[in-house]
Amino acid sequence: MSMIDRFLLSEDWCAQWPNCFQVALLRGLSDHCPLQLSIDKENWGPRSTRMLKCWQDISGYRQFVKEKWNFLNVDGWGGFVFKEKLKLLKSTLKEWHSVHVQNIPGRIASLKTRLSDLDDKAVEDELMVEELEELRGVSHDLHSLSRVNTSIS
Amino acid sequence: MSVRLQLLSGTKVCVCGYFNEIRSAEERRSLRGEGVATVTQFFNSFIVDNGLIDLPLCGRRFAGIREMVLV
Repeated sequence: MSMIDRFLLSEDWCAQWPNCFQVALLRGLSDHCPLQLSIDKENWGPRSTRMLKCWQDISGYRQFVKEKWNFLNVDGWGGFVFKEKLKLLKSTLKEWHSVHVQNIPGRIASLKTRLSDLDDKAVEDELMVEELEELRGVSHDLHSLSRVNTSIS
Repeated sequence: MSVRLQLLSGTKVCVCGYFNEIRSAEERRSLRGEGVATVTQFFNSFIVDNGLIDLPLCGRRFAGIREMVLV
């Protein structure tokens, strides 16, 4: 195994594209690995952990994060533990996002339907305690989902 | 080749390919563990004299495995 293939660059080349890097790819059938020279204008390094502000508007978000964070068990020094926990939290949040933040318009529509059913019933006769409770819950969810919807659409 | 590179001095040049030369003994490994390698100073001075920059390799360490078959 030898490093007999390579890229040699002139100074002017490097001044023009300072973030050049070469990567050896899998060789497959050849007895040489293909070398790929990449010019990455915006190499920002590893991707950062992000959160959507609207997540806070969804009930159960804080609780979810708190529980996951406390549940995660990582050994090592503080900085490493923090980094690893953020990374693991990121993947659980991804899942949480797909369950809670997808199809917002559809969920708003079904909440509206339920709200109107309850309203109709309230016009005809008095609502039971549970129904009153549900009515409050539905309108609360409708408010928070609408906020989420306006912030991400 | 050096003559052609001198003509191109002050421009953006990228020379790439199969040089069949190594810069140091570490760049060649035989599977049987014997580090027999002949490093010619020619290739090193070719790079230095022409002001070329040898980009470090990411990913797999060795680009050609020809020697693995031949040794």
